[in-house]
Amino acid sequence: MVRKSLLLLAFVAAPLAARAQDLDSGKLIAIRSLRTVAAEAALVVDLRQHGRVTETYAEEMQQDAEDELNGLRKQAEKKNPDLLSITQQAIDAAKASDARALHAIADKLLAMEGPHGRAD
Amino acid sequence: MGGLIEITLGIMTAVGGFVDVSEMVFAAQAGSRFVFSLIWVFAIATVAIAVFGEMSGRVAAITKQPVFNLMRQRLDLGPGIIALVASVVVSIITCAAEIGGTATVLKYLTGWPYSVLAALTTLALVAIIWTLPFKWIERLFGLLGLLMIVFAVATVKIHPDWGGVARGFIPQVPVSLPLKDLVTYGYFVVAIISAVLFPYETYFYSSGGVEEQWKPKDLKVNRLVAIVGFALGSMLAISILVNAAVLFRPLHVDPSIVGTSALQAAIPFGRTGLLMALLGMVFAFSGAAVETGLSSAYSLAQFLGWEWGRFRKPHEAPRFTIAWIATFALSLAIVLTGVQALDLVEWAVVLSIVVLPATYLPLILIANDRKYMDRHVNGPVSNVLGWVSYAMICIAALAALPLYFVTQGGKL
Repeated sequence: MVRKSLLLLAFVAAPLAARAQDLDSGKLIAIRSLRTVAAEAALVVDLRQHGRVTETYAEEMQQDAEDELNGLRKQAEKKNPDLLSITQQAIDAAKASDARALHAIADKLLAMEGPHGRAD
Repeated sequence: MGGLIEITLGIMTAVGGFVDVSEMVFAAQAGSRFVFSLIWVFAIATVAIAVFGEMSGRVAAITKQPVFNLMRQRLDLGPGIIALVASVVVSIITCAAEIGGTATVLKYLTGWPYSVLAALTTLALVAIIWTLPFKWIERLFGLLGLLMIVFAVATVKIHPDWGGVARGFIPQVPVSLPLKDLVTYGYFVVAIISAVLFPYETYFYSSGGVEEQWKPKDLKVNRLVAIVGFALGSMLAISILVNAAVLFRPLHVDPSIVGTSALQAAIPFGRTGLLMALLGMVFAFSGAAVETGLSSAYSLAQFLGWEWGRFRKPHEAPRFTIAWIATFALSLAIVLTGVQALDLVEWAVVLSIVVLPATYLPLILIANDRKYMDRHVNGPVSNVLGWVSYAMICIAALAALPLYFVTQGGKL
């Protein structure tokens, strides 16, 4: 019974996996990673402005977000040069603690994800 | 309070297993990406780990032997060695991830350098294990890990759609999702099962039962510990998922930074909530580091027939002592290479799949064997739940690697 189930799963999983790989997965992952880091940075800036997080936490989170964004910029240079501009905008907005700009960037990236964004 | 103290082994095992560094990000991503539709996976996996946890505690109480002893007796040498190597590797990688996670959270609290905090964390954990009796280790991390309850309180405070949450407990496949998202959903299903059933939990729990010298009269406590402890851990993980669906999803946040999850408490409760969440994370992650560090040494010592146990003084079980100290030293070395804690967790989740079937099959066979268990063999409920859970683990094990590579560790 178990062996039959395992074989069935293998037969179902293999073509699904192959089809999924045909799509441009790398770019979708890059957009999604950039979108969430921008959104996380925006959330921290918002909460900091409302005094709901400590200064140490906010500073360290901002640094982590900048590090993540710099890593994503390096990846974009190699694999997705068309994302370089928006990645740089996110880095600049994070450095400036500009929550509005970060939210706008996250919104734009979400739209770029298309139907893969936040399907319900 | 006496009851709470009695079940600290279950609480520490479950909090360390359910809300470690992997689940903090993983459960939050599950909620943010798929709303409540993955709650059922946590529920089913919780039943499985409670069943296997109770079984391993019962076997420990009756036979005085922990899980890895039984694996050595039931598996041939080849599969036994594969299970040993894989479980030690998984434990070391997971221990490194937990030390890295603890250091990261301490950085959010203090602003000190990450590598310094990682070294201090490791030294502190080694000192705690060296000096404290097992009972006090489990009480320290079990009780302080309860600070994580702030996430459950936050869930009540933010008023989620309780009907939607309840519907999340019904097994489902969101077929309306695009193919890529459906495949990623599949990866999350498998990875949650793997993460909830991490083998180190049963190694630690059953070895803890032997450390505490459980006897047949303790079987009722064992059942209570397994059910309450794992249900509590599961409730916390589900709370994190629900909070993410309500608080993060509308803001397009799929948490990729460890510290983001703490905002689930900061949004409703401000700085107090944030500090409780961060401290809870410190104790949950460091408790998981203790579990994995000791589990690695338990596995080695029990498989190779060494003297083992924290109920012995360090010099009375020298190879066991060296094994757990070496595990922490290796884990720290991995952390100091600069590899990300979350990358480590992904590898641990996939590697643990290799060990899961080899861990739970001997357990379920021994728990059914009257030569070992006499009248304390599995009842029909334990058997049905145990075998169904085992089938689920085998299916998850088969699907894990293809799904991991196709979805690039759930990032797709």
